[in-house]
Amino acid sequence: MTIPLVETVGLNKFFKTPGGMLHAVENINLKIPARKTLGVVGESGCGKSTLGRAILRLTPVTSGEVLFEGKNILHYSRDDMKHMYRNMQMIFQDPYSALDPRMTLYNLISEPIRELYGDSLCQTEMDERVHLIMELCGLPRSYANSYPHELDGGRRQRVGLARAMVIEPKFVVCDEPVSALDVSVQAQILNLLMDLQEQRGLSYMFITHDLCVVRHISDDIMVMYMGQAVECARKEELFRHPLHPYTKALLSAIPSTNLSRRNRIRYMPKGEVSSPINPAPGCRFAPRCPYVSKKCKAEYQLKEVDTGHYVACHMYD
Amino acid sequence: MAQDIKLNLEEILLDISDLHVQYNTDDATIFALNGFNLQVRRGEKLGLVGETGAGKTTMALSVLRLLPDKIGKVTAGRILYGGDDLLEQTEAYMLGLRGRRISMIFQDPMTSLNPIVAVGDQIMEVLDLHAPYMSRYEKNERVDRILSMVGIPPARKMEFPYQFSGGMKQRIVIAMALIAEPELLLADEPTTALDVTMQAQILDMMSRLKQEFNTSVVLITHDLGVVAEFCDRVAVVYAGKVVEQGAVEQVFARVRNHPYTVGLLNCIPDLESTAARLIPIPGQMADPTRLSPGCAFADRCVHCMDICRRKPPKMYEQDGHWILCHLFKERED
Amino acid sequence: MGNQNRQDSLERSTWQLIVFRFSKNRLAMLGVIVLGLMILAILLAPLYMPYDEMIRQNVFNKLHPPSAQHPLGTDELGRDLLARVMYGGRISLFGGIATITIAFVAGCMIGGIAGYFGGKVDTVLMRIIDMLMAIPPVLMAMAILTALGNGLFNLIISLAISQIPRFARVVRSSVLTLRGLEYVDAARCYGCSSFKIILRHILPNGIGPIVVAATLTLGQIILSISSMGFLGLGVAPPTPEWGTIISENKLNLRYCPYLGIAPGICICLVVMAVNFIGDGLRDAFDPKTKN
Repeated sequence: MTIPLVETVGLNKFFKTPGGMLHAVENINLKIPARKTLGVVGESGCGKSTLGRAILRLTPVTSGEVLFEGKNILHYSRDDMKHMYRNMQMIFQDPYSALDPRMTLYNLISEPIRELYGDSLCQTEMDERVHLIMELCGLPRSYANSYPHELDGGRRQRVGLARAMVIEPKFVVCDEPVSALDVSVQAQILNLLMDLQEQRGLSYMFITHDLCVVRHISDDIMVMYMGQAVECARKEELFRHPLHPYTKALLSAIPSTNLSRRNRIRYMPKGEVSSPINPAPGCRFAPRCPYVSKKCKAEYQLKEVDTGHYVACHMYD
Repeated sequence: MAQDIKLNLEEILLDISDLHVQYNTDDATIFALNGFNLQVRRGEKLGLVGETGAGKTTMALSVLRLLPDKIGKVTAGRILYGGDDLLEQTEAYMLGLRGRRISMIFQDPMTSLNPIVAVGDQIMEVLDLHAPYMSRYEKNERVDRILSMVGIPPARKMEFPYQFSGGMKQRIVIAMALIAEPELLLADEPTTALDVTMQAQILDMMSRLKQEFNTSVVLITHDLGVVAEFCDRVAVVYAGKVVEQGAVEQVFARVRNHPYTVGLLNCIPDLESTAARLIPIPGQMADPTRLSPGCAFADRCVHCMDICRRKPPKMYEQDGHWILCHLFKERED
Repeated sequence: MGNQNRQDSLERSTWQLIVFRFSKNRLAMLGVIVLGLMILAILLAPLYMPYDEMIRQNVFNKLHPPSAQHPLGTDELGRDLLARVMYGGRISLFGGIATITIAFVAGCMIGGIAGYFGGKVDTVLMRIIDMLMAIPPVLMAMAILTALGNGLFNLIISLAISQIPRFARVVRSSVLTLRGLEYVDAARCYGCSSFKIILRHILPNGIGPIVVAATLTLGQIILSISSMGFLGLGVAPPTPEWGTIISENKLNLRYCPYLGIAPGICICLVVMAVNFIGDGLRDAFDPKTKN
């Protein structure tokens, strides 16, 4: 069996709050093979962004392991981590705050090279690389001296992409890279992400709340609810046979322009998301679930019910 | 026939015709609305779709006459509301109109509520302003009723905004907008800040409330899916102009559409399609500081003809579904 | 050659751009010129105005109005006012600017570290700052001076320390808002050290309000130097210094207003010039300012 590029084992991230422990990410086990995309879907506050940041060690992990090519990177020293960042990068949600407003595009895009490779590149090599990546990301060369505020949202997101891609990483965490963009621009960026993946053999972890987008770009999809993974499967499988009641509710709530879907049966979970601080054991979705049983409030476990289809629901025991 | 026309006239609640609005900043003049035409009928749910900067919010602010002072200016056009031209009314008249006959909901529920006033009191304040003749008891009754209608236990009305989740805050904002039973509700991206399941709940609730009060709703959004599911009619806005308007069934049937609408429909990833690539609309949003003499969408249009750059297109209409594009004019000829 | 040109245009460094934008700012350039001229005049004073001669007390000459021999008149001890203002500027101007610079740099460091790292570091540093803030600045400067011993250098240090809390507070609050921005995370993603992030990505973006606070404090510092002198600390009479000149001549101001006007104008000019320069720097650092 081949080693996945990125893997987490029992990853936990809790935040200390005045009210108690906030369970942001709880016992997440995921595998991302090389050249594949894992989509992570969930509603705001479900811990999907925290998960992405934890994998990149942008936030300290409470317990568990993050393996990159089979090696646990959580024990790496600062210098080792610097080497690690040549392989893993992140693209951020907000194209406005993700770029330092005081730097020109050239400086923004070349800074990762300077930081991670020191001065090993000469000026011409550096220019070449910056120009190449700008071209690849659809930024005209004449923009090199522009500042972020002179660009529109879509172009800024391209700069964010170029900055992450310029050091040729193997794995990129995309944290809602298109949710702040207009639909026509969103399509451009999604196409660009997919082209880059094809050309460079990248792996993505694509975090989003938009199920249509995640269906378009992912190979595998993990659905999160309040820090827990509730379902994980190949994308076709997940959209064809959603098993977890929460997944069903999510899928049926997607508004569609297809008029024939207008009168579909909708599963609406009742009530609201409960507090993630000191949550009760068992399935987090239990208080809103129409099929709740006693067992749900006692135990949570992600089980494989079909090849490659994992679900954390006691209905499928 | 004459009676027919009269009936039609009565039906229309808000009639915006040829509205031009511009923002004068130190740097440039931004042409936000350029000949904006829109009719809203009594009791209907109209979806106003367009991208950032298309002029959707400007239209709502113009109707309420809340454009930023000194910067935003209406340069031409009429806004007929129940037969009166709102642009000619006094400020006192507008004060009585806002919140009473026309309400607005803003995108961000977090900033629409005063954090240090109990939610019940905030809703009550609308009644204090617009129904001062009511007794305290009556007002309390009304607040309790509207809260339970939006799905918030009236017992929680003494609580403060921070004690509610995002979805619940948006319900409270909607309750505030509807307590005076307005004839028209302008909802500016009311569900954009919310998650899909919460969005479905809020839209359902708004549908039910609309039935109850027979309020007309203008839903401003960038999400075509939401419009297709929630609205009766849809108007597509591009560069300060409504380029297509019609019943949801007509527009989303995808038989005859403005090229911009086609582009929008094509570039959202769909739940059924298996296409590997999306088809983005080429180019960038039209520059709002420069007006083109022809069709503003010409530069990005795949069907662009010579005439498109020279002359603004005329309206092509069929069964109340109208499109602003030379493409259809040509075919008619 | 053409290649070289292209590279030049690409390689216009951030600093060159900042200098360019700054030079386009008329008020800021005016500030530079005024401050430059004053510094020159003060530095070159020994060349055209021997100190001993001009300062010599001459009671017969006291309270002369401005004349060809004494362009600004003389004070009650018959000393030439122009000379006193020129030589006084050395202490006032350089002492004031040195104090501000020290307080500014130290405040940025402390505020930056406290704001960026947060948690315990923040708590400890900020409680110390709070304690410093609770003591009136003049009292604290006095205490420090007494401990360190009298002298101009120690005066500067003590005044700087008494101003640090204010800068640290301003810096910390702007760092707190900038720390959460995504470009800070992005910088960590490509291996920037915390120190580098604070220095390169956070402080430059939060510098606006800090620079304004610094320039406005300068006038206050100049006056503080003189009030310390009044208390017999730091610079003692007869060493001239702008604040001291004003307070020495307090009693004669009614009949000889020119005695207060000259040093007063000097303080005003310096504060205004530095303020313009500060505003100009803030705008120059901000790329949104049009070129």
